[in-house]
Amino acid sequence: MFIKEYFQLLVPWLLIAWLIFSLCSWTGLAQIHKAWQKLAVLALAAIMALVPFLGLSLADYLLSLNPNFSIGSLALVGVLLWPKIAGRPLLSESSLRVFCLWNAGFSLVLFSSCLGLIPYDLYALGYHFSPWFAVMALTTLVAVWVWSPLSFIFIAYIAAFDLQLLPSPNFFDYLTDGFLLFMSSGLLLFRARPWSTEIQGSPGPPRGAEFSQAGKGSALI
Amino acid sequence: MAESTVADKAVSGRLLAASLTILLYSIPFYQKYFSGPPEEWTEFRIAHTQPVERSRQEAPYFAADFVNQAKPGVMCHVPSIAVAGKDKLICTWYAGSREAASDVAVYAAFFQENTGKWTEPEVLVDRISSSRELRRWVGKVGNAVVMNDNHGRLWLFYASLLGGWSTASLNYKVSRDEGRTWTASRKMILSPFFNLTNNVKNGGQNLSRAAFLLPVYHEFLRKFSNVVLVRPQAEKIQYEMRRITRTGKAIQPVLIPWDGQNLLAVFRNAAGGGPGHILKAESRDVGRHWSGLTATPLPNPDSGFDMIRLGDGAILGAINQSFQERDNLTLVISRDGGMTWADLYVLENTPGKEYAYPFLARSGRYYHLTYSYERSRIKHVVFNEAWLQGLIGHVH
Repeated sequence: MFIKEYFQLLVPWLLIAWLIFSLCSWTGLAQIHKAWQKLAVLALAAIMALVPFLGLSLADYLLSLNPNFSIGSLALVGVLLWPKIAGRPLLSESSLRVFCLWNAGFSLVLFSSCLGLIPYDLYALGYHFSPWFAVMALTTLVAVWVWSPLSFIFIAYIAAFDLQLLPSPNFFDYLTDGFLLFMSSGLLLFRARPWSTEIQGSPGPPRGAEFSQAGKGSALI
Repeated sequence: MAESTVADKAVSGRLLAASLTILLYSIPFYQKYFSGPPEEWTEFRIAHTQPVERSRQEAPYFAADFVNQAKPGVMCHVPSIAVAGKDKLICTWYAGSREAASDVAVYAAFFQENTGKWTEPEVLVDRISSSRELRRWVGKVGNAVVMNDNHGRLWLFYASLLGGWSTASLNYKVSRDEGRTWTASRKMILSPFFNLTNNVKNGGQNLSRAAFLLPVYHEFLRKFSNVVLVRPQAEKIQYEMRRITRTGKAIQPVLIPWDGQNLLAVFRNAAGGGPGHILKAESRDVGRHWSGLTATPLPNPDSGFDMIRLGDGAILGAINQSFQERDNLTLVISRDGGMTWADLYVLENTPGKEYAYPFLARSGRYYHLTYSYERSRIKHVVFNEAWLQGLIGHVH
């Protein structure tokens, strides 16, 4: 219970840190290059996330809007924040695009079911092992076989579910949430132009080179 | 040589990751099929309350009173009632300046059967205390339902809202001392889409192994009903939700126990646009799967109601006997599983007034009914089996 209480604060903390980095970058208010500056931003984000004002902390307010940040959200915010700290991207542009497409596509199907827009009750099959777990296991194995960096995220889904790190008892809540749908859709729209240019102009980074190759990031990444 | 070493490492890495994947997915597989207590819905049995032992000399009993007093500018709505110890009941409802206003609070009052008196209402939870306990921002609180489980605990399920009703999400509090003290509120995660939207109106159905079913409903983009299987544990609860209805606009389900693993659910008909009837569906596996919706002969003016199974197997209902208005409240009975119905007793009938959201419960020899009386007070009606049998004798 203790770990679960604090684990759910991770995404709000990282999200606030990413927003501070991005705001500084967009507005040109401050240049954050040195290690101590980056640590200071992370510390400031932690204070903003955890220290209550008007009874609740900023993390609490974010969790009020989205009560269950998924592992997918954690991965996406981590991928967005990493270049700000390490100076190089964690995922290539193509892998990020695939991840966003996966998030948006799966979320649209799951949410359509949950909101009653389609008659199939998909969410009910996420509480215990079901054929959908087998589908996800196979998807993960395929990602592992092609040595996609997304396989780490896919393995993290089930590892976190086994450890019951999130408040929800449903496996699908480890995969996605409302915030992730909007973030992934936003990234797909925001970066559609750079990606279309990349598709037309270059073959993209070689497969499996994501973690070692610096990408051509925008201000966001 | 160097290239083959790199290739070997890559293959080893893949094999390691693949093994880890299989191991991690084998844990939920093992948990479902080989370990722990049975998780399947069909492993549970419906827990029936003991039939009322009616003494031959028992006189018919019927009484009515008000749980609270009307106050200017304060509306009261959505009452529920449950046993809270020996000869004692607890009634909860919400009250505030208007429905879904930020000053709405969930109130509770206790009824002593031997004195027939209600205690002064006290705030059980409001948006401030809910926010403090949940550590989440709560715009307002709404519908609340109090119910007993099979282990002497009282459960309060209540809705907290960020904005309108379609932003409702469910929270719960538990009392282990007959309603004197309650645990802090805990939130239930029942949807991956911002936890939208689930609300309560009627009580749950107890099952074997201390589990129970909680009927809930959804009204964000579409209106439909769900049932939540709740398995209490030492410090927390395990729960999972199943869809009851896939078509129509059937909300505020009432669960009526049948035999073995069979359940009947009846619903408020929120379709609008013409005369609507109370809808029903059946489950033969403790609520895991449900039949399609069919209409009962009972009218429903898009309003909440409640039903309860009597000791002799009949179904007693408290409904608005109208297609348009909530200006009457009538007791109805069915002896054939909801196929046909007869009016038993008209509790209220004043054109232009509103009598809404009845809630039925049984406490030993007595049946208790609470409902919203003109949205200004909560009315309480109590009767016994002898009174009911007298009415049934007249009907048949």
